[in-house]
Amino acid sequence: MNDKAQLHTLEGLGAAVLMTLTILTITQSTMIVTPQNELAIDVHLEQISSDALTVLDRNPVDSDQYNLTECIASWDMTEASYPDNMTGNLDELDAGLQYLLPDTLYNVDLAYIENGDLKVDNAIIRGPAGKNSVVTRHFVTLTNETVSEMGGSWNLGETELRVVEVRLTAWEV
Amino acid sequence: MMDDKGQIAVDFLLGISLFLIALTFTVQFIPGMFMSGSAGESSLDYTAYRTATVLVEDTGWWGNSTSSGTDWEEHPGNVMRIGLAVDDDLSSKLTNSPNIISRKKTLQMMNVDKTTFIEMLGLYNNVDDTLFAYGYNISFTQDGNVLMLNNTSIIRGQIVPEYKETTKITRIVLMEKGTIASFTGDDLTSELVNTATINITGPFVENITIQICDLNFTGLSPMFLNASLDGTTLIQPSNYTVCKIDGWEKSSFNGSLSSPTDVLSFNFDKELFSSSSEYRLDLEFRNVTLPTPGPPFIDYNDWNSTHYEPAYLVVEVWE
Amino acid sequence: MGSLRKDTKGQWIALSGLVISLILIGLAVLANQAILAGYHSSNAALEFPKENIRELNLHTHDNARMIRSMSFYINSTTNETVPDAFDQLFDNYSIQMKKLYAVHGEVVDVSMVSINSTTGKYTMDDIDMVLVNITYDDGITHYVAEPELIEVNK
Repeated sequence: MNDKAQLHTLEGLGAAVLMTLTILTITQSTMIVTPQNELAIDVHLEQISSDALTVLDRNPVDSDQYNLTECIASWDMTEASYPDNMTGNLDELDAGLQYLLPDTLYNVDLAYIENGDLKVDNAIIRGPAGKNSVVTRHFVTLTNETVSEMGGSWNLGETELRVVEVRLTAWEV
Repeated sequence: MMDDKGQIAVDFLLGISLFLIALTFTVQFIPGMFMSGSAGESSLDYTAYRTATVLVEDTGWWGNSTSSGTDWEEHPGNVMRIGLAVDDDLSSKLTNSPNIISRKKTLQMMNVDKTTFIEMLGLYNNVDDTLFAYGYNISFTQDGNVLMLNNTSIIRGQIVPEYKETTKITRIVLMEKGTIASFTGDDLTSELVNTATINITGPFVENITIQICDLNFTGLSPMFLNASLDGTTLIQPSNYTVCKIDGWEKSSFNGSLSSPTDVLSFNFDKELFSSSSEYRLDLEFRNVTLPTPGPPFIDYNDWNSTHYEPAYLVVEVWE
Repeated sequence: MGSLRKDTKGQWIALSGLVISLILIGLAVLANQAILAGYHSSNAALEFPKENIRELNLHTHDNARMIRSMSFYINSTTNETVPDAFDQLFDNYSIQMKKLYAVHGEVVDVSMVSINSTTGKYTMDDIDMVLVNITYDDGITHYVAEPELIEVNK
């Protein structure tokens, strides 16, 4: 009877328990099951900043808060500058975004076509965009009527439509 | 000449094979162990994202052999999709109001039975044709608290486990919450000095909101004193609450009015107007003129519109 | 050196090393797959221009309504007919949208098909529906609504 090269039963059992425990710990721990990747965080941020613009846009006209079109119509066309005039004069829009997007910093740019040329103006600058910032956009259409009602300085003709792209760059702090 | 050096131990071989067989078996038959690794699309991130998107952006759909429409809350037996977005065109499959949440649909969502709910929203993982439901917690919150509609807390699912990795998606929505009427100081009618009187006809399904702005001040330190219904003085906060509104922010209000542009928001308990008769609400101020004489008094029911308030939908999903 | 070669007692340690490394490789592959799965599903959500398409659609709906009331205004102040004014304003809108989307590398086209007027008189309560073609293409996703029915009398 050659009893060499045998593993001792008890030690074997111990080893099995150790291995099972290790595997259980690893699989139960958070790391392997769902690693939160950076992209998922981006998706979330993009979705929520898009929501903020939609909610602002869809807010009923007769509510206390101005909706997106009204906010943009009230703009006096003075670009924002960092850090001394961060919100331009879009205080209403800034207040709405701050309320809906806490813990988030953002810049707002307005892009529109004037005399056939594209113009992009910085309306709100809250800082240099961080890494992993996402961009969402929404459109509003201004007419002379909405602008004069809100006291903005868009200078539109009586029968002119101006589509303005509201570009929101958001990043988490 | 038996050379017993350099053998592979038969016991070891047996042991390691057993272990490997056991491991393969475990991986195969315990669902969720390595699921996110092998099942691509069914990752948790995706499930949470999809669930939130369906709830917020879809109106839902019901149908039987003869008719169909988006007002599934009226036909809970034939529901085909659960979605909460409001819709003005019941027969169209396209909604034009994403992120605006219907109160009725939300309340009906609370009544849908668990199996249907999990199935409709796809809150399960399909492993070898066997369905395993995910743990989930879906709620609407406002100012950090769970939203109440019709005395029901809008929250579904289990308590979020502390020691498990969960995926959470938050969406911003506008929640339909009862009705609101906004008056300026000039709109308000008054019979007694400094007192605005509004007629209100019940009943209401949700608390009602009255907003007042542009009041005309006549003297120093104008104030809001009290509210009374048919002669009975109402008590704060059990009968009603008042706050000041500045754009999106609500701030507490101690009674003294500082600027004519202040917007006051009164929220009255719906129980005050439980019968379907006309109630007389008096709001008493100090040093405020109300130029429009009454009766007839201004009527809340002629002025009201649906009240939307921003809220958050939070969807949390785990294995 | 020779004595080391003859010493064969440590073989099973070497073998365990091999087995353990194989198991490690297996685990690493699984972990990687998990990350990859999350990446793919998140990437799919990021790549698909859900919001852009919806925004194009919703904004066109809003604009059709706005343009309708504006063309009645133009009709009342000049001698231009309502359909002509509608066409012009819509073209103007279409050009602006095209340019604004082009900046992001997306091709969109919104064009008027017809204005629905039951009596042919184009009065205020008569125009209830406008048919519009909407297409969107960002190189990966192609969206077409031909025609999109827009109820403008709401």
